[in-house]
Amino acid sequence: MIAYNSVSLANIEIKKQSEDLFDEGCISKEELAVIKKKYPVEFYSPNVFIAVGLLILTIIVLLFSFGVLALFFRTSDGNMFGMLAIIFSIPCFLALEYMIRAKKHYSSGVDEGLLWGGSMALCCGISLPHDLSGLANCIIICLISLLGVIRYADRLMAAVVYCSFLGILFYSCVELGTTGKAIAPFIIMIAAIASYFIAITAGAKAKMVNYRNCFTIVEIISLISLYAAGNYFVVRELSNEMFNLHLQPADTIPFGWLFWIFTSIIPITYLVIGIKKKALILVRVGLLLLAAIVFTVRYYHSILPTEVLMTICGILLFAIAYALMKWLHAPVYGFTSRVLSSRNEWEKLQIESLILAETFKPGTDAPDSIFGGGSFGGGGASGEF
Amino acid sequence: MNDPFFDELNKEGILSGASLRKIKERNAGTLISVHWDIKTLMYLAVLLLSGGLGILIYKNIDGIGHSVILIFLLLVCAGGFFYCLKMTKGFSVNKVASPNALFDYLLLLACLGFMTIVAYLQYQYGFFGERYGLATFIPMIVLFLAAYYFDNIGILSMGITNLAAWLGIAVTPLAILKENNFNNTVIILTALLLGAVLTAIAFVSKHHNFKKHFEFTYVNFGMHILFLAAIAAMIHFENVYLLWFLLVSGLAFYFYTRALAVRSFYTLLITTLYTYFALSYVVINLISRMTNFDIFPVYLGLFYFIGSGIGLVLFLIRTNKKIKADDSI
Repeated sequence: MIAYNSVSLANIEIKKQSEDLFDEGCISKEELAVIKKKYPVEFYSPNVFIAVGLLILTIIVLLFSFGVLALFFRTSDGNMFGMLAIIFSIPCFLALEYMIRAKKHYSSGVDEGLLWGGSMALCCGISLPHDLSGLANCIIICLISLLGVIRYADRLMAAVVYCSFLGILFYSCVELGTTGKAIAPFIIMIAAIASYFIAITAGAKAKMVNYRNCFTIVEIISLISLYAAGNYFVVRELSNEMFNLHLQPADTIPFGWLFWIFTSIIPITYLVIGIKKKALILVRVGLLLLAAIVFTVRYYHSILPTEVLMTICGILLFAIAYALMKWLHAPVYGFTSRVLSSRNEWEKLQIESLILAETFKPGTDAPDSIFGGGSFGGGGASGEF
Repeated sequence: MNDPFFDELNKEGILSGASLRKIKERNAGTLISVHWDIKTLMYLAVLLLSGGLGILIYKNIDGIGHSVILIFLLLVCAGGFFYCLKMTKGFSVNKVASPNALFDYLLLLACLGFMTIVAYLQYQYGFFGERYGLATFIPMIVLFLAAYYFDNIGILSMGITNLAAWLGIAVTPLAILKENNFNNTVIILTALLLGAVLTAIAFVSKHHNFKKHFEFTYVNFGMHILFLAAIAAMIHFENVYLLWFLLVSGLAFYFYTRALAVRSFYTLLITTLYTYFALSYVVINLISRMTNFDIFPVYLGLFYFIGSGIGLVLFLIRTNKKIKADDSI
């Protein structure tokens, strides 16, 4: 089923765990070396930056190869163009299989590039010439990406499978007419809950070890989509947009109170369950969605001016974060605010500094240049890059 | 991995009894670290607080409340610096570990507060008169002093972006292409100079052992600014673009050697991509001059990208192996 060598895939986890254990001083360097030798990972997986470079270059090669093909046939006919795209996807998948089998590539950028290039060419080739409906497009995308996940266990593709599956449900509800439209949010919420439990139970099975990362992704997005489907803002604005309700700003939607309850209850539920079960994913998604509550409420009711709210939230958040840091210094309930593993600390620090520089940037449009002359406002060069 | 797996390893004689005991102790505790989560919360708090206070001051500039806000800001700023001065272990030319996470974020808050106060003084009272540069220059000096004294790379990055702003260039990661007019000769030459100075500082930091760990931050900004300015120069001075391409090649050689020396995959990637862009510009420029060959130049261009793309893939794979070969673990 899976294209990659499944023994090596399973050994990745062992390797990672052993390296963590070595970092924390549980095992010696010799033991680590022996474990690594006994459970070899025979993949070509370059450093993450190199993988990014390889991905970019693979996309360039694929785009221009398709360019050559299109130029050679020089067709303006939609059907012919679709055929070209479908034909183009075949060498993509052949090259992908070759890279995986002969060259042992695994998340090297090359395999992801070929997988995505091939899948997108296939989807576009089928969909574009026929001017298909939303439902049909979702079914095509769902099927192709599902095959991609089963064969290549690609995480991003797992996300696409899940989202297109929700798309199928949504468009099916729309087809059903008025009742269907009204129950669409509930159908999606039920589907999200079901997917969440399927993802956590399936992800824990030993047989599914190679798909564990895919299930984790589905777990995260199903939590988010459960909230989105129950969020007042999403439901109101989406139904207004999709079903042409022409709501006035003061108008509410049927069962509006129910969606307000979902909006405020779900994140808190995530947080509480997450802390109880020590599930970090639930805690993090819950924290993220707490912010969504504030934004949703603020959108419809202006309680305080934004800047006052920002200041107050800032002070509160700072106090909470500080209190947590102090409180959890000695582990409480299995949580600690200390760093457990020293690995990657350095890299994170650097990324953090770049984020700081980006978000707190100085203004350059003020007349504060020592050269004074000329206006620097325009982005003249941006088109060239 | 669960305990039975390690029991098995122990039976096979791979794991010593002591190691197995340590692993079991560790797995029994199942401690979860929320260190980075709390740090993210603190970062968001600082973001909200500084943003909120900034807008508050701006909106209430003539109102009653604005002196209250200013005093509050002054208190935040003074309190932050006071806490940091109290907690700091003092200046050292080496890396000084931060006492705690609160220290980092209070320092950030204090620096941001100081920048807001200076901007406010200039806006409201014209504190620096016509010398606008001073309004950027003074925060920049404070940022650099704070970065070196309290040993904070985040503040250093802000100092460097302020230095660039003082020279009239936006260098924050997202704005570097969007907000600069690289069609301006003065900007291009200034950027080249700035990039060279930053790279030189990086060199000095490392070789004279003065805040060695700041090297990457300087070299990172320096590298991007130098490459972008050199490529902009190629496009701007189109008559002598091959001359500027020589400069890009020189830069590529310098940073490639450096990437190999310090085993930096990141530097290697950035160098490769910029150089590839410059090279493609030259090739496309040459091909587009072949006007009387019908469709042939278009094919040539397409095949150039396919060939060079595959070539670079092989180059990156090979260099990755080269760098990894020296890797100890």
